[in-house]
Amino acid sequence: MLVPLIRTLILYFVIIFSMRFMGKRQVGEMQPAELVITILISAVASVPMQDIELPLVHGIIPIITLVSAEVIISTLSLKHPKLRKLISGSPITIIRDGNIDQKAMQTLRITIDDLLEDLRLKDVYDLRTVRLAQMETNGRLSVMINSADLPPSAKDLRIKPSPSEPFNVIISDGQLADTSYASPQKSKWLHSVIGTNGAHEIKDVFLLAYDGESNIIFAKKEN
Amino acid sequence: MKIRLAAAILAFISAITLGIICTVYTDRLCTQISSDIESAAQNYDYNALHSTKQHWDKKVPILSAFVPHEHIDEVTEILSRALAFLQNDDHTEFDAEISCVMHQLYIISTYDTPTLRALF
Repeated sequence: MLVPLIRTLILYFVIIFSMRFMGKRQVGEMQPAELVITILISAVASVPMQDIELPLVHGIIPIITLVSAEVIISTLSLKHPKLRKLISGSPITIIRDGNIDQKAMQTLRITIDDLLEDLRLKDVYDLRTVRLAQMETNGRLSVMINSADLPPSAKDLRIKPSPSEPFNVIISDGQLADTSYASPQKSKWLHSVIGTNGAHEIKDVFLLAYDGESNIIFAKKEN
Repeated sequence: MKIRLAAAILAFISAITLGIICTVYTDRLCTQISSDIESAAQNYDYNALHSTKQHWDKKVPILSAFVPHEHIDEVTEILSRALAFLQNDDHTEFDAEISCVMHQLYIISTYDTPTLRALF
């Protein structure tokens, strides 16, 4: 019982270290080669975790080899565009000026339903408004809308909206998230905000966020 | 980026080096054990075989790090059986066990050797 536990812990740290070493990427942003390596690492690691008759090295060495190869190849592909194209492929244009390239869709083996779904996820409901849509090497669709169909920006309207600051979470689920508000001066302000919004203490607050100006998002904790 | 690349190359080279060291170590150990067993078996020398088994037992923890445990356990079991047959003067069974252990040691020695059989 102890042996699988220790072996699993060792492999866990090896995998965590390996994934960190490979670099930070979300699953959806992975290139095909990276996705294959991630799947391979999880598959390779699971065998010595379960089979204690197998030396642990038989799980660690393939992981080190895969990660090293990935780092070396990806570094080389940074410097050599041809290698990058060979490994990752290149973006394929599916829609140009509202017209669907059916051959490109056949090459990519995606259906019209898949394409429309991807467009809807990009808030595009009218194909005619698409200037350019490309399937990226990581499998995501990037869409460029016709300038005439885009909503006007503040720049287009020649207005100057007041600059907004991002909200900073001060209290999260009854806990002080921003410790700078523990200082006496800020604490006084914080408690006055809590009192104004009908709560008594920090633990009564579910969310308190402040943009540094005059805007506050407040949510009282439900019992 | 350069540090990451250097670390990856170093890890790759280390893996290859470790692989070569393990293969050479296993091969040398198996060759030595096989030769010790062979000479002990020729003379039906119980003490010599017993000390060879003790030598094998000492090397088992190191060998377990890179050879599947079932192969190692197989050798340990066969050696124990061979010693018991030798003690009872059952030379026919003893010879059969020695033949088995020699084959098993050959399997272990070639286990991590990158031969066509091992690769495919």
